[in-house]
Amino acid sequence: MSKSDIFNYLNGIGCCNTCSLRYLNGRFNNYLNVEKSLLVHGIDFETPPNKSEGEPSAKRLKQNEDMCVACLGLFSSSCLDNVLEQVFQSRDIKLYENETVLTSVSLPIIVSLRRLSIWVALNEKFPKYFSSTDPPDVSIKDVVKLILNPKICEKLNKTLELNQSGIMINLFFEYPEESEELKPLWEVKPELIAERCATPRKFNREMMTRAAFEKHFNPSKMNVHTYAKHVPVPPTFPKKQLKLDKITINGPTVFVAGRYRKLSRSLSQTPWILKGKRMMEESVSEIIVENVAEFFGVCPENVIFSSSGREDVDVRCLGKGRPFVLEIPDARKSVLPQSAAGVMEAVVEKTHKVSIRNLQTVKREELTHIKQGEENKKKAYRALCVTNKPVTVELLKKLNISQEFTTDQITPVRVLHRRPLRIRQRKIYQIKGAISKGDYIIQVMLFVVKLFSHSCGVDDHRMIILDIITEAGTYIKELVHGEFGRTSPSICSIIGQWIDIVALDVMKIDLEWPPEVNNFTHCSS
Amino acid sequence: MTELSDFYFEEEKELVDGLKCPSILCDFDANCPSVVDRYYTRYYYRKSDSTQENEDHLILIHSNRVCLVGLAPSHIAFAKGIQSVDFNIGNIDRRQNHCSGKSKKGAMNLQPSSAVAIVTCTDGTQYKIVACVTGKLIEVNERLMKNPGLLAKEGDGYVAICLPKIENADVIKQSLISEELYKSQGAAN
Repeated sequence: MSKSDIFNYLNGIGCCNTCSLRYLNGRFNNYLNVEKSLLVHGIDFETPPNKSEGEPSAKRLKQNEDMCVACLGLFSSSCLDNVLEQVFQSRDIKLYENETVLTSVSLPIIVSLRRLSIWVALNEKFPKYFSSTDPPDVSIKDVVKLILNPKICEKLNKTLELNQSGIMINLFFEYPEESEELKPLWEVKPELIAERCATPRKFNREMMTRAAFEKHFNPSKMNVHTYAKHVPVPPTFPKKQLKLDKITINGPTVFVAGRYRKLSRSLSQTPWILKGKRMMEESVSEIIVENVAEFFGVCPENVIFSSSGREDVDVRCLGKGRPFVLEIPDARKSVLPQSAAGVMEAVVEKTHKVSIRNLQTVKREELTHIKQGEENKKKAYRALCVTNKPVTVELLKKLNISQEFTTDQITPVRVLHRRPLRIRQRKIYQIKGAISKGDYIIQVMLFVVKLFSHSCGVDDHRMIILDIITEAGTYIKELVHGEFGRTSPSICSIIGQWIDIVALDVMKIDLEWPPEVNNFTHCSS
Repeated sequence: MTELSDFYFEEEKELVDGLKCPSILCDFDANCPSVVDRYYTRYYYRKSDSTQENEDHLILIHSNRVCLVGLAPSHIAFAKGIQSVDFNIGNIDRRQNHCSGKSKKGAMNLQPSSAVAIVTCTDGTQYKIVACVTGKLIEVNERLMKNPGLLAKEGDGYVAICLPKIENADVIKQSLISEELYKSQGAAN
């Protein structure tokens, strides 16, 4: 028994040459010239198959050259040419400027069913060559892609990329009489069908899916005799050809990371909506997204903004800023050149409310950094505070703490309506208290002003600047005033005197991601 | 000797669009409103069965509807002198309250007249501190047991935190006496 016998058998039951080669385990590069490859395998495909066995099928074959029991005509040149033509004619394909491309193929279950029938038949006929456990063929999808990809790449002048960072061309095929042909399956494993009928919701109301078929139906997981009783082995010659149902074209999901500074005390990080009403016109996320989305040909509403934590509406975020990522689905471009990133940074800078730096595309895997930064990183804050008595050296000494300590914070009242009541222990690594140098000159001046006007109540000698380094998740405002004793110890309890917070800035978020890139000068030069 | 000049603040330079970013010092306001004034609205509650004595309660309602219930400064207990605060109101100890999750499951449900604590004065008289609002009991201020003097401090002296249902928030405010009305009634004395 030789490969030739297998070929003749397959040819006899109505397999096309490409499918025969698949069952002969043809290597990947063989499919670009099937005839030549068959010759290499020692098969003379032009000699008519052994008469005793293949005669009835061969006759049927002649009626329709393109038809095949396995691929249902998918590999016929008329079908493949039609697919390519439709891809190239698609309006969508021209919208995408990405430089790489990838195809995906979705085939009806019937193709899997027919493969199973051929598998069962081959096992019986050629037990030395085929087994119940190893797949008998080279996957039909892989072969379709192998044939189509080079042609698509050449025509579109793009390169093939398997990591989904380019255009995805999704080909959906259907078979007109599929449900009819699947019916006998119900007899092979009635319990399976019964389960799916009993709990339709669990299975999304689908009687069969490709995944379920492949899980439950293969020669090692079913009674082959029962199968052969209900389903034709080898498969009967098909009446209809596989049809291209639709083509969808998607761009890749691109991730753009960067760091933002928030420079306004009246700007929320994300749209702030209370009782269905917008509280503020703008937000950090919207300002960033609207300046980035267009480049990628995407609607701003479809872009997802996430960041390593957030600050309150009235808190600024300065220094190197806070890391953020934009998830841009269906992007028309995969690459963000530095010059384009620099322009985006420059435009955002002009708002004077938000500033962004280090804009760059990142890989999906890198997104974990941002969530880690939210939980276990140190944060540096600067709090502008006011006391009820003039600041003394003794007070400042109490407010310079280099010894780490822990504070117990009960969920602040301001978030209590939407967060569980809990006591959180947070580490305070360092506190540095300072006073403004200019205070005393200003004070004298203000004193003079005060003499003339009672309305001016500025007395800066009650002002303290606190630089605080804490564990992420510490509520700083509450740490300062103690929130009626609900945060303990607090700065207020440490100094044993009244203190309140007037303004707060985030100074540093201890997360060195994304890497620094100098787009800004790149664009202005 | 350490001097004030040792603590002078030095600010790093921060640029935005080529311009210097305003210093945090510019935001200073020595007369910045207190925490209570910034985030809360004062409401008052008067017991309907109250005799001649003033038993007014103060309710601080946060902008997110969370209520901090305590005594109004005019409450008779302050004049008499406060000895102790107890959350064991007889049949139940309010400290046993537990709530879990965002929705505060398992919290004790309170009616306006439900007692949340009992205050004992130096002369031995006792007054019930009531919830004033309908809602869930979130926490009681156990620090008052050690330091009953806190009761007189607005904010720090809260006795209990209640969370009304969102749909009841407006009705609750209407059932209480607003600060304006309360002051006009001269009840603050």
